[in-house]
Amino acid sequence: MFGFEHNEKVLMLVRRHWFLFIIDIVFLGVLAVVPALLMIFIPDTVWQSLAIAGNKAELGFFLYALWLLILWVALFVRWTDYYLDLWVITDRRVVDVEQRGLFSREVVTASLDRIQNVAIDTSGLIPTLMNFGDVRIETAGAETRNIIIKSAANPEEVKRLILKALDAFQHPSRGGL
Amino acid sequence: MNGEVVFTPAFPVLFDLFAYVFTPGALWAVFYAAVVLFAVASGALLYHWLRYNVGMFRTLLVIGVYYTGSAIFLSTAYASLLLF
Repeated sequence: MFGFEHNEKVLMLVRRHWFLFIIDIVFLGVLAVVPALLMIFIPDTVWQSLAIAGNKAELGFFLYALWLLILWVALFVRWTDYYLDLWVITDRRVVDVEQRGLFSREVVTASLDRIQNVAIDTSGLIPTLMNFGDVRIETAGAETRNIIIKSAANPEEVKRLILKALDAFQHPSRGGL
Repeated sequence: MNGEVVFTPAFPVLFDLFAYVFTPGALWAVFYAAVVLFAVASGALLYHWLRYNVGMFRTLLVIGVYYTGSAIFLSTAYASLLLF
């Protein structure tokens, strides 16, 4: 995925909350059902008036199978996007791996000595109930970007771990993680 | 016309166009285009799964589920097209 340094220890892998992926699945499921419902509720007279030389039911199956194939591929593209879009917290840095679709990928690294502040943003009913939100990692220096862990599950725990890693990194004499 | 009223329903005229769109030749072209697009998308997915895989068993499981489902939809489309 990316190169780790010698003796670098991974403390946590963070992904977006699973609830967001479930929303994608539900949306695709609705899209899968809509054509079937249309076929059921459109009157027979409409189908009979279609000037198609061939078996209309087989045509319906053909188009519906292709539609389901498109949604099936879209589901796995979304899953791949969800699965490969992750944040890695190690004892030396935070790595943001941003997967955008299938053909765009960006890896941003923030060394722990650059981190100035860690903030949490949980807004909305569902994020509050499901306990997920954004973790904003603010870094020093013009050349390093801030990292935002989007919709992380249990953001308080993520923040606590980053601050603990930061403390251990800045004060190694106090003992490791 | 001699004053007689000619009723031209809108739907059937529009629906006549389907006879030109849904011909076997056009549907086979759609099917082949879908197969090509599917192959490209599957190749890209497979590349990501194998390059960034976390566990080989999980990766193989995902690949198996993906291609099994795809094979069902593609074979259904193919069989329907043959019977059309």
